[in-house]
Amino acid sequence: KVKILDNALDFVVDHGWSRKALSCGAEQAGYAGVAEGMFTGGGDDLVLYFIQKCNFQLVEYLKFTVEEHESKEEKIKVTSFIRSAVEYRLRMIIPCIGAWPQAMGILARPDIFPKSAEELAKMVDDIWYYAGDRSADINWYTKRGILAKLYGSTQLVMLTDQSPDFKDTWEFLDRRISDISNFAKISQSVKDNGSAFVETAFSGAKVLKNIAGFGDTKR
Amino acid sequence: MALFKLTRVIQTRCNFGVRNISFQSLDPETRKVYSRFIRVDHAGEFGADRIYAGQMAVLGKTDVGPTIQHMWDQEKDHLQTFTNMISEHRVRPTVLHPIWNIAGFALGAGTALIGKEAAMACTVAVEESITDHYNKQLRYLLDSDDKSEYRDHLLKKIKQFRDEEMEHHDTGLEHGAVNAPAYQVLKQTIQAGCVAAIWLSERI
Repeated sequence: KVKILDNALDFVVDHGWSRKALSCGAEQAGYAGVAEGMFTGGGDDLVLYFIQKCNFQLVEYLKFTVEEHESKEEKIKVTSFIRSAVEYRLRMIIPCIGAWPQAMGILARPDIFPKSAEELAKMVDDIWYYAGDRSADINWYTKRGILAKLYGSTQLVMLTDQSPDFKDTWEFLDRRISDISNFAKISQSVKDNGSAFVETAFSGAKVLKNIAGFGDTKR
Repeated sequence: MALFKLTRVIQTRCNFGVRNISFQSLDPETRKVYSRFIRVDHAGEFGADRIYAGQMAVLGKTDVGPTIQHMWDQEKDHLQTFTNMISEHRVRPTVLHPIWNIAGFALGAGTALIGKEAAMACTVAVEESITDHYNKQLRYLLDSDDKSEYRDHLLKKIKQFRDEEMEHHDTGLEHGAVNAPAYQVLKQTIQAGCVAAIWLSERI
């Protein structure tokens, strides 16, 4: 089955994510064209197989990167790790980018959406885990949500990008990532300054209270 | 990136937590159950930590302060255990985490403001609910066919925590929980809240 699916991927640019691509793939693999009947979902099965295969390869890449950093005893820099993970994963679409809008449409369909959402959730979880995230509170969700949105928007930019080697897309990715890390820095400094502000406000209130003589028990 | 070849056969073990069988390769049904256990227990211990924080905020300087502090320290230790399990086994934490943060503190501080006995009544109610909950989990784990180290580890830890929660329950009774105003009503309401919280955090 896997052999047919792998071979069918060669034909998606010409025939789309369809039974025709599957039967061409079957023939290329040395089976009869009607073997595509094995796949009850037809082209949908092919799309799902493709994203699962890409995510599997992504995890291997992430593990490799982590090992490399460990063997050099370097600490992983989260933003550049995520940037290279997203770029690596998006580059996997390039061979069939002509047919990718159709694939995105299939993945968004209500009957397929639960499976594609699960794959996306698993992918962003993998990326964050290998980047070193170990949060056990609401940050688990915010981080993965941000990454999913980042991936989705970069993917859309890539579809209309005509620049050589998708240079514009990677620049877009860089800008989005620096936006996110700026936002994180700003919100952290707001938190730090916020508590100082609150204390100042309370001490002001206390001075007023003393002047007005409220709560003064020593008469 | 150019160094990475797709043809390379990778037999790597990820260095985050060395285990014989990885948690991810447990059979899916078992993994789902254990993940649920870890998620809800983490939520429960976090809630308990916040409840004691609320109680200490009000009663910290009274004579019952050291007792509450001791119980709080044990809850912190429980929480750390489950936080480590969430990180190590890649379990999704509960999305209601910020709500339990506020609700737990409000419950602890609220009952403490009513009085020392009401705070103890709150402790009794919550610890009774948690003990029941842990007992259910222990029964499941003891009946389970799974023989992995994860089951043994969970069994050991939950048993220990259940025993400590029972101690807290008894401590609460010793310090006059039954003398709290509207003790039965308070206890039933808090326990109903605990049941709902457990149901929710198992799922989301």
